[in-house]
Amino acid sequence: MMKKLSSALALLALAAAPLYASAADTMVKLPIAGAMGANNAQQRLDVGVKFYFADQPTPKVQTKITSDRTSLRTNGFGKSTEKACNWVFLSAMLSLQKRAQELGADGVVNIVSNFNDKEMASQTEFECADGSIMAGVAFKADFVRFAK
Amino acid sequence: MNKNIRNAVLAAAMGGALLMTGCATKIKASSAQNPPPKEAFAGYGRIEVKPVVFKTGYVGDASGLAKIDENFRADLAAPLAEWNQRPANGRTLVIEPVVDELSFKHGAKRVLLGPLAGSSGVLMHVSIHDANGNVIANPEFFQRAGAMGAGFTFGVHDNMMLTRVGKMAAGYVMANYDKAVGGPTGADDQATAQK
Repeated sequence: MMKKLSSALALLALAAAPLYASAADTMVKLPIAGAMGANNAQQRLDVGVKFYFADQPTPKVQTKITSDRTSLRTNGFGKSTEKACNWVFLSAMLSLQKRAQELGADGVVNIVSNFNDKEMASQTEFECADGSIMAGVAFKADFVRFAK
Repeated sequence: MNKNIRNAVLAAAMGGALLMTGCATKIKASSAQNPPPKEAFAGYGRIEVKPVVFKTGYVGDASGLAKIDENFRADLAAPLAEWNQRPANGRTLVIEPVVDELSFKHGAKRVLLGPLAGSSGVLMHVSIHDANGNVIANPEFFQRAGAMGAGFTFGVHDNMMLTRVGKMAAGYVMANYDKAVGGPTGADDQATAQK
């Protein structure tokens, strides 16, 4: 009986091994334009807060209120990398938008990917951690008020 | 057979009812939006931030209170240092955060009971006044963690609730430094007390 049980456990562990092996995140770069075109992102991110990635030119900044970061994950099981990453990109952007509203900011500037505190600045691409189960996007950014 | 089915349905209904009782926190906010303060905080040469405390007479979870205080102070540390480097102008603003109600389900209770431990919720206000006690603003902040979400994440949502409320309160202070604009309380319609 014990022998059967230990054999079954060993088999289970062996079967699960590939899952663990592939659980590590693969960092992928995806176009921001593609993510903004998916999931109704343009409409959902249009509440008076403007977003600027990396060193994109911005209107004149009157006040920098603060800097903050966000890190979100989503269930990526059974989804393509692009689909899961675009979805979590939108979640991260909505989180920045919500924080901007709390701070009375009308602009979020210098947005850079910041997964596991590793910075990746780009005007056109964001970084996504693509795992077998979860996908994650992290940003850090400055919250500002533009001069009127 | 019929009796078995009836008993199973009864048990499921009782279980469901038990789950639902834990779903809504009784803690409510008074509105969804905080009004702007009487003036922007930049008019004060010195800004003093007191530690987050429970309202007088309220006995709550000390670890939850410490977590709110930690997040509130962490967000304000850098701007506060900058603001207080300006020349003093004889005016001091005092910021006193007070937790009015805190239901914080955590630790073994959340892990063992899951959603049955119930929802978590927090309501705090920040008394902002000048050195003479004149009230400049009295915003309130609300956050909750639903029983289901918090239960199935073993308390992650409960902890995040404390992080969020601390950050929201700090956000209000930062938002109203240059310009009096008010800010959200964090409560939605469901979390707003009926008047």
